Amino acid sequence: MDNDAKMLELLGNSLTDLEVKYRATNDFATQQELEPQIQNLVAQITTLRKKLREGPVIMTDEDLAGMREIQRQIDAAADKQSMLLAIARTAAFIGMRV
Amino acid sequence: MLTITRMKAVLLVVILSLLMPTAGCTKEKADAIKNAAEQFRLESKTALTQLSNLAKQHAELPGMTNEEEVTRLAETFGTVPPEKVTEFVNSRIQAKRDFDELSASADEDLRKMQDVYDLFANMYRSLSKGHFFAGSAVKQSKIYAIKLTMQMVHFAGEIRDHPYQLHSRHVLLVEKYKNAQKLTDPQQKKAAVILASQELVQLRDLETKANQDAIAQCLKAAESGKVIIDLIDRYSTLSVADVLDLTRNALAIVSDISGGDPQIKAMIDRYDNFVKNKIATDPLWKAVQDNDIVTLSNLAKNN
Repeated sequence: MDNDAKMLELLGNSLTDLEVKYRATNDFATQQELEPQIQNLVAQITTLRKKLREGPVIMTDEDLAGMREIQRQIDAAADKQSMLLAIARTAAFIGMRV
Repeated sequence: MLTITRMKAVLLVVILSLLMPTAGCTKEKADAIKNAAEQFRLESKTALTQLSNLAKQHAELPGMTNEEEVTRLAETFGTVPPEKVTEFVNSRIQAKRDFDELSASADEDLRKMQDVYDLFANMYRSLSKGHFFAGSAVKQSKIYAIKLTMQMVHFAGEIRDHPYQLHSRHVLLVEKYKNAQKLTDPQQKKAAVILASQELVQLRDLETKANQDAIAQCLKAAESGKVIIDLIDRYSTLSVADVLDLTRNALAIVSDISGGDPQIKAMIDRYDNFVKNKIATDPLWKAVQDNDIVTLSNLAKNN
């Protein structure tokens, strides 16, 4: 078990314990005391999970811009190809008629 | 004069027909890349949805019915002093909002990621109509195919190394064991403990299945990504028959990958090793991993 797994287990156990306590109490003051602690643990788990999911490869804003640029180039290639095919068809038509 | 015009027109047609196929790829290959990208989008989005569900469930608190909530509020109100009634009302409304907000943030990175896979597939939307001139753009797109494929392999490994919990079910189960411990009648206590233990076994199997299904889906997506990379890599040398073989083989592999396969975790190693081998032998993969932008743009153009 690596350190991140240990941390996730620790956070998960603490969160479960706090939630069990929270659900068991009908005391307003205790609920108010436990809520920020629970929220803090959920936030910690979420942050750690996101970090672990990120991994070695991150899609940056530059990557998104790069993909949009490629999309634009391929769209432009399609326009160019349509235009040239139209010219070729017209030329062939003239060639056949003249 | 007429003959010269006619000759010019014929010459133009000949030049165009000679130039176009050498500038890019055939329509069949372009269609293959476009379809492979669409397949990659579908498999990846399914993987991201499964991963999103796991992420949300890992940070989820047990829900309450309206009736349970009303009973709890009424009982809690019994402990509220008169000067704290306003605070009670406002804080009970706010607390629910805060919890909902937290729960929604658990998978926001994955929801955003779905748009990236959409954008990737959309890059090729006009490829069938522009295949003569899109060769260079298609080559450059390989960087993103590599990145997103590596990401799917990483997700699969990440689920294996840090499996997700169905957290609210854990809370309810702990409550059941604690309630069983409080029982004084030995027979009742034994029955309650057995019931809770049955649920524990069910929960363990359910969690294993949910995690393995998500791993399998990430690997299906990774396999679809590999096909695009292969098609881009070899698209100047592949015949139409090769393209058909490649896509048919990949579809067979994708349909064979299943969360119920006991070897599913070992399969991750196969994809992991594929990525590691590529990083070790292909400078473009190495540059993608290192996010080496200068090398990437040079290699993508010349690859």
